[in-house]
This record gives sequence, structure tokens and C-alpha cells, in this order.
Amino acid sequence: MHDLGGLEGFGEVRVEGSGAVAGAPWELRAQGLALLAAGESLRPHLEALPPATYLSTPYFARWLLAVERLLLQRGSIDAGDLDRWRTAIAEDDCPVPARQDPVLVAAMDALMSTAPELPAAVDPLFAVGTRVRVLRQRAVTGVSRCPRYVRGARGRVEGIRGGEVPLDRPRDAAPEPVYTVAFASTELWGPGDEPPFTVHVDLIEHDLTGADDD
Amino acid sequence: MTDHEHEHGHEHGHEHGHEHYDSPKARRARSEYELRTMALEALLVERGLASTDAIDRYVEYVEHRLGPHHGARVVAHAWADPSYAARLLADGTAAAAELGIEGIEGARVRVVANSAGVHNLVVCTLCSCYPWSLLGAPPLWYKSFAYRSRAVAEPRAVLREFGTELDDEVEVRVWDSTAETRYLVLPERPAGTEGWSEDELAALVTRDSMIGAGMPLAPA
Repeated sequence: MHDLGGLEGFGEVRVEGSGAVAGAPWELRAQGLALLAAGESLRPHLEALPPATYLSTPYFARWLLAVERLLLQRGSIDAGDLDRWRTAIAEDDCPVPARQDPVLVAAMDALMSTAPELPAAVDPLFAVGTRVRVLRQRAVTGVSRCPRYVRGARGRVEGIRGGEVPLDRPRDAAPEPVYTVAFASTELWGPGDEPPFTVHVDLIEHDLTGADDD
Repeated sequence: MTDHEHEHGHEHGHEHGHEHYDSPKARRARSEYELRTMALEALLVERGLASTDAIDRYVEYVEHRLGPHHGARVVAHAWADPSYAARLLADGTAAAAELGIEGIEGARVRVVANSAGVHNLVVCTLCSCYPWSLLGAPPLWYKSFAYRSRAVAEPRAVLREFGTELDDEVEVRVWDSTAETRYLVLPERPAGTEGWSEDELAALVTRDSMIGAGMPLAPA
């Protein structure tokens, strides 16, 4: 349900308090716990939330649900222990235990102050300026970074961004070139009621085909 | 050590655990999500998979160490030094690193420039990818379903909600951050700022102007 581009009905963007980065104190603690304990990208777990849950759960709570799901799946925690703590805190006023751990603080510092280097683009198939079409294909693993609103649409390669390992492949799989593709708003949405504009989307090579003959 | 860390570390201590969540008076109003977060923290601390100070450190990064002041410094430097602006547009990652700005989500930064005829707007329709190393954590509106769904389909209507009105002739370019590249908008330098220092310029650079939702402040 994460693929939201072009959906209708979500209302206004600017609502009271929306300039803040977080609300209640638990929110950043949930996100921090998720980042620290996951040890891998939580994106697939966030995207695997059932659609009704995704839409009815606020942003930080989705992180909480995703990391709970990952840790339960992995067997790092079990549901009974989680429930025992929830009851102890809610009903018996049990405090959250405190513990200091310089190794975990260093791990958090590393997460926040470094960014793992990304691979270069190897032998890109499409040159800048080439017309391409986005393949209409379903992500069999359920994990795709190709938004539905550009599938089947034609655009022009605006730039080559480097290489990335697709999210649905093992982390040590070969990286694929990633392109910024420019789409005319009329190609995506028809004439619309705004002056024409351009939408740029970063797409991995296996989602594209040449469109010079289209 | 920041004042915040000092206060947390020494005046209150961590022996009670309550100060990280809403105060005991608010306990009855605790949401299910807060209870579940507390339960998860308790269990992970018990298992040695998390520690109080590591989670405190995360909160400290988001609330203090990261933030749009880093991006504002990059923008002000680009306004003051055209050769830096050229390097910034050619390789945002390297140009940010020149000013010591690196870190989370900063592996591949691309900067796109506004001009009299072009206005850029950044979104992530699939989640909420954002240039954390330059702007810190994204605001709630950036993560909202409304922004994620509408910015690619009706950008001018979205911009109007921010009070940003563009002439019909201006070309709007929307950037959907669907892969690992993180986008930053280089807004136009406001008129009337000739001879200003970089610190003075940086004070005009708002977070929203670096996402493309707003414009820099006008000189007072």
C-alpha cells in the first residue's frame, strides 16, 4: 500500500502541527529502536504491512509494527515476552529498565554519521537523452521501487545515477544501473488542470526498455 | 557534550525510565503504540539488543545534531561562491563533504537549482526518502499520504497550500526519490542580499525552500 503516487482522497498536505518532525516522545524512541535492532533495511517490512493497516497506522507506529514483525520473524524476540512487558508496564506500572552500552552507542553513531558507499553504474544500456518505456511488470516478490503511476509510460533518460542492488535481490547480487527518467505530466495524467510539468523518477535498468520506435 | 545530553545524563539519571516517555500523570492517556514501544524497549534492553543510551543518542541526533542548518550552510555557500555552486550541482555528495556534511542517507546527493524559469519540488511517493544528512528528519507533512500522493500529480495545488504561487510560465520539475539518490533544492538567492555574509544568507534559507515547497525568506 506504500505506492501512493497519484492516488486521490488524502486531503490537504498542510495541517496543524505538520511542520514538526515528530510528536509524542515514544515516536523517536520507536524509530531509534527499529534502526538499532533491525540491522538491515526496514523498507521491505514497512511495505509488507497489510494495506488497511498501512493506511490506518501513523508513520512512527508503522516503524514499530515493522520492526516487531522483523524481530519476531527472526526469532530475536517472542510474542509472549513482548506481551509480558506490555502488561507489566500498562497494569503494574513497571518502569522500562535502563542499561548503558557504549558498543551500541558507537553502533548508533556509525548509523547516523556514515553512509555506506554505493556502487557505480556498470555498462549502462541507455544513454542520457534516450527515450525509454517503463515495463508493465508486477514485482513477484512484492518489493519494487518502480511506482505504479509510471508503469507503461514513456520518458527520456535525464541522467545516470550510479548502480544499485535491486531490493528484491540478495545484498551481494550484481548492481544494476539506475537512471533518472523524465516524464511529461501529460504522459502520466493527461491534460490535467495545471500547466504541463515534468516528473523525474529514479528507475533501475530492469524496469526499462528502449522506446525510440514507439 | 550538549546541554541537552548533560541535563539528561546527570540531573535526572536513567534509573526510573519514565522521562523518556510521557510523564506518569499522562499514563492513563498512553496510547497503545506508546505502550508497545515501551514494551519493545524493555524487552530489547533485557536481551542486550538495545540500550537506553543508544536510543537517547538517536533522539539527540534527530533533535539536535541533524537538521536543516546543515543544508542552509551549503545553500548559503553556493550563493556566495559561484564556483562552489557549480561543484554542488555537478556532484552534491562531494560538495557537501567539502563542508564536512556527510552521514545518514548522504551517499548519493543530487542538488537541483531553481531559477527564474524553473521550480523544483522533491517528494518520495513510495515512502519518505529525504536528504537526512542535509535536512535532518523530514517534517510530518513530507511523510503524509496527502503529500506523497499529490505532489507528482498536482504540484501547483500542493505548492499553493504552502503559500507558494508560481507564474504559469515557470516550469515545475518534480523529483520522486524512488531509489538511493537524495535530492536537495538550491533556491534562488533573494534580491537585496548583495554583500551579505554566509551566516546572514543562511538565516534566510528555510527547510521548506530546500524541499521546494517554499521560498527563502525575504531580507528584512
